[in-house]
Amino acid sequence: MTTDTAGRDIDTALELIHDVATRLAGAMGRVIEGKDEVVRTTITVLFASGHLLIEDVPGVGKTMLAKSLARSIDATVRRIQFTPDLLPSDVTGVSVFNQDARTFEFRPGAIFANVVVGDEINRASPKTQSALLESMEERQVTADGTTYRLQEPFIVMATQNPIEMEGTYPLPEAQRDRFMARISMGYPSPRAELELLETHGARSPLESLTPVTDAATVVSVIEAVTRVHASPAVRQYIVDLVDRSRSSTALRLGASPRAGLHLLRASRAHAALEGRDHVIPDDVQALAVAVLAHRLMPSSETQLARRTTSEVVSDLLRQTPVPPAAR
Amino acid sequence: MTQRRWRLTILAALATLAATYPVTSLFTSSEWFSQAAVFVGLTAVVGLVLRGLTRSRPVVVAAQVLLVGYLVVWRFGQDTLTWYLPTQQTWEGFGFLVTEAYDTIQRYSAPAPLTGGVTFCLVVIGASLAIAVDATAATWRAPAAAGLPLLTAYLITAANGSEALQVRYFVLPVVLWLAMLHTTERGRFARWGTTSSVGEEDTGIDGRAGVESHAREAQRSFSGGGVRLGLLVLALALLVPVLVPHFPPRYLAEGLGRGGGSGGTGTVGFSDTLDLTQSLTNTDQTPVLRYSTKGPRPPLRVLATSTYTGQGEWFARGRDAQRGPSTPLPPAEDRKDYTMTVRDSTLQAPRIAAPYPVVGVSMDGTPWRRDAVTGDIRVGRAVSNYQVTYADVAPLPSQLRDAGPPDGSEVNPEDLAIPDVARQTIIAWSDEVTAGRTTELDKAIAIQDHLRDTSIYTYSLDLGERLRDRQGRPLDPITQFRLTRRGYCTQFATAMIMLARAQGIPARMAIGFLPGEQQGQEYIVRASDAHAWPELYFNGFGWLRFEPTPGSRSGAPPTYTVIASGPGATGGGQEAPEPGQSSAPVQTGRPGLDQPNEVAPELTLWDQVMAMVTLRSILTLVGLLVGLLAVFIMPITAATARRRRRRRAVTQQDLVEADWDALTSHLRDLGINPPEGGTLRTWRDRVIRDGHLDDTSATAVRRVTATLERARYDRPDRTTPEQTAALHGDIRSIRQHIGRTRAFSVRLRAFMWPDAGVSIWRRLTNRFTGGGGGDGDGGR
Repeated sequence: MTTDTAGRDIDTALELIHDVATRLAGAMGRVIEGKDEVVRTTITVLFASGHLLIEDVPGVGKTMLAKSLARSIDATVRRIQFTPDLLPSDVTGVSVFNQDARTFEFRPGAIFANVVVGDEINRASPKTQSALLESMEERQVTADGTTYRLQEPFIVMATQNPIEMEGTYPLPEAQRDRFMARISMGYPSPRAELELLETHGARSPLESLTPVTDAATVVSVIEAVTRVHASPAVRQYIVDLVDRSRSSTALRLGASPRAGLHLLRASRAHAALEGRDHVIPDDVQALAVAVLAHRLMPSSETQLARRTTSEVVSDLLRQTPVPPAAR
Repeated sequence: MTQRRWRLTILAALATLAATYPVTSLFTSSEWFSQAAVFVGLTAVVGLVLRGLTRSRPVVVAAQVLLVGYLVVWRFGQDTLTWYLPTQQTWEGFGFLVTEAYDTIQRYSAPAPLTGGVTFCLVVIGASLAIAVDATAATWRAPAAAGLPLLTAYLITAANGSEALQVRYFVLPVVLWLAMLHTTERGRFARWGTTSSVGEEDTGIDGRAGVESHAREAQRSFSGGGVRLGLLVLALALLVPVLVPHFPPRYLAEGLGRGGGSGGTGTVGFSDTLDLTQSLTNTDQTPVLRYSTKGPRPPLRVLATSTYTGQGEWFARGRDAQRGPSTPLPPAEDRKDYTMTVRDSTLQAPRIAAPYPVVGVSMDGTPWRRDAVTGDIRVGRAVSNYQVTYADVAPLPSQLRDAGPPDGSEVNPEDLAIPDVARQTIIAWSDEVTAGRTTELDKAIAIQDHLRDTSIYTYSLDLGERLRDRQGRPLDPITQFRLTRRGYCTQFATAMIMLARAQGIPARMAIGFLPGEQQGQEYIVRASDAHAWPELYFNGFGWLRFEPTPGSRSGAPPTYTVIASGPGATGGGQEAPEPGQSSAPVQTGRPGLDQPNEVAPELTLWDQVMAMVTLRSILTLVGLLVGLLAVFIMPITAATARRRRRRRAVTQQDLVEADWDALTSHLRDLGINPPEGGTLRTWRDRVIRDGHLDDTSATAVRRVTATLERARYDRPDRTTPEQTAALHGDIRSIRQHIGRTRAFSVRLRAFMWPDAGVSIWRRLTNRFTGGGGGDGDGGR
């Protein structure tokens, strides 16, 4: 009986997830043309209740991606343009003395929103960065002894430019660990680029974007995703992968336990997007590069060989056998 | 290369000679061998020269066939050539030679005389073999295939000789053949080398010295391994025949003088068509039986028959006893009973050998009965040891004379039948022989004396050419015997029977053995002691033995047949034992003897089956089973392991995993390996691609992976028995479909050497040897 209801529950939840994901992807796809994979990963991270780091050269649509997602959801959206003089309180909020009430009252910062778009996060000072990253992890802000919970859902999409290093404070690897996944936009295909020139000529398609879902729906979706079944075999596989990254000679720093947690959560969301109520190793493999690569520190040999950590993760996937069943 | 070509050619020629040489043991003269050797050498030289001139292999072989063939024609048909070309006459001459060889082979047992035809055939065979061996070993560089013609040559001897071939005949050709293999494969291995320096003619260049010596070392070690392996196999080939039972040697056709008959090893069979040639020409010295007796030693009768087919064949009734008038034993006062103890009899059931007439038989538990008409003893299964009590019937000639014309109810019309084809001849001949005799006994004695007259008749196993009448039809055997006056016991006995029947005396054919040769207390009867003699019926005395066959290969004529004619008329009369001279007459019905029992159990199917159950057959069967088991040990192990795992499965998941393992391991055997670090879906895509699966099978593969994914990664209760059952069917169809796309050799290997079975044995051996090394020293 319980199994039955649970089965029906999960079926309706899967339908909901599929529905929301299709609408989101449709809306975002109108803005970000020819980047279905990126859009999909973005939605996956949103459903897995994680944060996204978008890393690429300027002008490929990083901010556009973040904004399109923000606009597609009927929720509060804040955009922070990180600059060297940005203060932590600009992010978290500040207590101001109210002359009329004769009390200090809290003015929430930019972080108090469902979707926070942090542009060029590496331009802010480490102090400001860490203020943001701490609230990302804890999903709350503490100011003057009072703790303020952030809204649900909460997703930070930070963009970062890896090329222009002058006057920037690159995120240290430990901080990157807070992001569930890192994606690169990559250049659009020539055809997509041609279309882009046509459609974006008159006015940005972002203007015409209307929300396709709301915050409450996304919250229920996130809740449904946590109910996706992850069998012992899959958990074993994730542990094997993470463990292997720690003993790999190609890496100076392996994946953290949090990396494993994030990978499992992302895999759950991926499985749900595929319409499955259980995780399979393919889900893990599909997301492993996005979830793991930005957290790992390459060894000097790897750097000298000009190999990226993404390649190292691909190697790890090839080397780690998929456990046939739970051991 | 040149050196190797030389070596191979010479080895091929030597191997051919070594394999044909044993044939010399089949013939009285080995003159043919030197001629054959010339042609073998010629083949080798022609091959060697031509291989140097042209690269086209068919041209080489065609030239060898033409040249050697022409020289054979020239050698044997020199006189008939016109302008150095064979004529019609040449081919006719060869046809004659072949017929002659065929006749020789049909007629003689080894060693047979070396006639012109035989020489011709042997030389042709030798030359053909030489060309075949040279073509496969040297021209096509496939000495393994040359083993077949060599084997043919070798087996000609092995299958036709009377006894096992000597070891040296086997060892020499095999060693030469292995040497050919070794030479070729060594050359092939040398060509694998990454540097060209491993070739034999190469002079070392300083810079390459290290690589070269390494390659040489590797080559030496491999070729040393090959030599050791070859020697091991040779040793096994010599040892195994000692351990396994000996099967009747046959190859391509029956051997010399072996047509018909159903004799196996160690047993002597009497086929229904009674032809003694096979037994008489048998040089096998193995005793058929041994016996001891204190009484007189008449021939041992195995069976008797009255049926003559007219084509010169006596025909014994099958296993069923004949129904008809039975012959009573002579009255006790006219006979003396003796006991004969027989041991080591190798006769096949239902026959045993015993003197006639038998009074009683004693053998432990074996059912037996007496044929009512012929008095043969039939047994339920082959017996090797038994005792018979037989009567010595020696009526006085005067008594026989008084017996009067036969009118007994025991006489069948068949006992007086004369074949129509020879009726005229027989009656005329019989009247001529018995002219002036009045009583039956006198007539019979006259016939016997006539046939025993060595100035008229010649005892010979060679019946001479088959004569033909004016229409070209072959003459019937009796007329033929009358004209050629040569034959052996069968012809003499047949003639006597027919001549007697023409005079109204019932007569029939008895087949058995001569008394044999004395050895200590015992007498030994061999296959070559086979004998045939007539039995004539006399009123009141039953069937009496006569002996018309002259010469050494016959028994002495019975006493009652010689007295009347006086000494000198028949040879061997003096040797006849006097009746009553022998001591110790034995009483009948003494304890322990079975009385002849007419209501003895019929030979049922069970008895016949039991007759086949001997220790030897059981051992052979067990050996065969063990051999089969050894051959199929890997598939059996794999199947057992699979079944055990399925039986032990507790949950549906276990079942699914068991099926899955069986499938993946089978596909691995077929060459489809799972991708490294791949998931079920990557495996699925690879199987569909590499297995060249059509849509139906691809769907089956998808179903399988879906079921497996569900079993592994979904909640445990989601896997239903229906899915597991469907999986089983799908897996079977996938195996079939993928199997169809693979080469037969791959499938065979996958079946005979499945990884699932091999790994189990490897684990077992590792556990016993205590090493985890597995194939650790494969590299050395």
